Amino acid sequence: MRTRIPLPSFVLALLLIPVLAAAAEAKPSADELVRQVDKRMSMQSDYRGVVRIRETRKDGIERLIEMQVYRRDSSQNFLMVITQPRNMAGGGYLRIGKNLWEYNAALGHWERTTRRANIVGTIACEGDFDRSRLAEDYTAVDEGEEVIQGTRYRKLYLSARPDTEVSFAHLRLWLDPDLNIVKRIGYAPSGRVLRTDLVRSYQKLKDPVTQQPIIHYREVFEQEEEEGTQLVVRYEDVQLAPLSPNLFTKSWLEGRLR
Amino acid sequence: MRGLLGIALRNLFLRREQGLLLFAVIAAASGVLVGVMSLSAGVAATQKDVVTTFLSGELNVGGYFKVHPDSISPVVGDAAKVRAVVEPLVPGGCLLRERGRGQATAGAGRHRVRSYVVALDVEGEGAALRRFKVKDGALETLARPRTVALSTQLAGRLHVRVGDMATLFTQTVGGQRNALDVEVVAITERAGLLGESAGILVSNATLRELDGYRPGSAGVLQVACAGVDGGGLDVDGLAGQFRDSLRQAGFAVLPPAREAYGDKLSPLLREGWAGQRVDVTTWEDESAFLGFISAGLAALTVLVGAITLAVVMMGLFVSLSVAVRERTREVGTLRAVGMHRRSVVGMFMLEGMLLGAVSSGLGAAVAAGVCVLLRDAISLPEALSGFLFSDTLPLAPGPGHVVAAVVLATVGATLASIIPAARASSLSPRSAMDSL
Repeated sequence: MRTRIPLPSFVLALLLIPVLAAAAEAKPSADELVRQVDKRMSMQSDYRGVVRIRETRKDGIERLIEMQVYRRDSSQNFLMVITQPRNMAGGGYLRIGKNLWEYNAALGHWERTTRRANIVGTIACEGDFDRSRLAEDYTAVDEGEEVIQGTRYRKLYLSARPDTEVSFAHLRLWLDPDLNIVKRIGYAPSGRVLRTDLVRSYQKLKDPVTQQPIIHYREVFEQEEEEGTQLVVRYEDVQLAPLSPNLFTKSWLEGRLR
Repeated sequence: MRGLLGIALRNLFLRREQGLLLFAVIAAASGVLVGVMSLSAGVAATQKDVVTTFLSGELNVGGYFKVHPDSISPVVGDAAKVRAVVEPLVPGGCLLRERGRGQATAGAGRHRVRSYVVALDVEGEGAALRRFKVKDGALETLARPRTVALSTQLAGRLHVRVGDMATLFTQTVGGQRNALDVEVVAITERAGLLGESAGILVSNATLRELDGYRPGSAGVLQVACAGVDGGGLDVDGLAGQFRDSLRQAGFAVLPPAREAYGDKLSPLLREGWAGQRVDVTTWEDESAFLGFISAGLAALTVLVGAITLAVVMMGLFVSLSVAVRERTREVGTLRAVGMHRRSVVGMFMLEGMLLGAVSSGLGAAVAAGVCVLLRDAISLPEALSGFLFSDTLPLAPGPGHVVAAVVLATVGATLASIIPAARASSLSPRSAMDSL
């Protein structure tokens, strides 16, 4: 037996179709997307992890670097201790507030540096290991969608806000439907391409403070455009747990060597 | 004398082929000598121009400050007091400009390059700012805080362009190490070796922030005068007056030394004093480290001069010796008709002198003309342009160079003809008969 749809309901449904379609198509703005990316990667808990870098230069020379990274995002403190290679072991980087310091263990020297400077003589920057703060540092412009192998990626073009200290003046991001960054290109202010990164995989973590799931890089492939130097950065042994309050001090890093 | 001159001229024309060959050789040698002297003068002028643009005024009142004996910075802590002492002594037509000095490592990406820093008073420099040759961007933009202008060489090594960011790393006055992100706002043209060694230009304010200097400090007060030659200023005399006045005003003044400020840092660091010392230097002191270039060119000029002299003397000696042998009958006949030995000597010497003077005069004049035409027209390879302070061949021919070449060639020709002339004068009238 066929049921009949009453005419007023049918007309109402017809009228609602474009409204619902428009609502379905209403996408978040570029800035909103960037905020969501930051949120998905931010944590309230302290962070510690091991970063292993394999650098391959154009001439084939390989270098392995291992660093321990400590972060306290709530106070924006950051500490990185180099453990490999042996000749650089004990050195590191410490950020207290807005000041970033580089420690040369061989000389016992502290040298003030900036977030733009590359670290450990590689093409990586401090910002690669710090919390995600795209929304704070950049304004975003939507560049539409790009379909690659059947998957729609959202393209965003980010420009650094005035008076922010960032490694790249401009960034172009490709976001997958889950708002994971899958590719990013860093540009100089003159528009020259500096570095292209491909995020190969993520790891899922749980913030013990907020009990919320967060995502974190597992492996990133970085390539310098100019000289073709390639970096494979692996983020391993990540632990989200309280760190010692004395950790983010110069004396703690100096004391490790002693 | 007129008769001798006539005979000498006639002989030159008679032996046309030999004469022309000698003429060409002497003219070419003189021309080369004029060319080398023009190059030497051109490099010296360009070097002074570049030095007084980048590094130094005609006279500089700088200083060194040591917080403790183990650290040193090229800075005058209270520049206003020093200015008050030296400003009344500045000659008319010259201005006292404030510049900063330092050393820094510029970094961009993985690239690093170390160079001296020149800090400018962008608004106060006025016309002097236009003496910097800018390839891209504008030096006036340096007035904005945290900006830098790099030389072509440094920008190339850092792989940066105008609009890009770079980081400057340096050691502050207290010995700590500091870093500052700066925007590249201009790229200057190549300035020889200085483009490499003093290729970082910033404003005085940016240098103060980078090096941790207090407001009111200055690297150096420079007396800048219009024109490359400084208007004929007696810089050494004026430097002495400056030193006396500064000592009378209570400043500890360093003794004069023919060294650039950067070369004094290490020796002064080893000294046990702390506090402020003032140093008065001339532009020649500040460019002492470039002395090897002028010394090298001077040596080259002497070498070419010696070769010219040797070519002229050998050529004329051989030519006149052959002439004496060939003209035995003529000389014997002249002696037989009553010509004195002195006149024979004079005739041959006059012949050599005439050939030397005319050929070298023409060669030198043509060379000077060619140098004028080729001035700033020949591009130099990069390796050479560094030493010659210019992208093009810096030639500065002058009348003095022509006169020097002519005098050298003529004197050489005259000296070379003495022995053949003496041989000719020793011929007896009978030798004319013997040669038949």
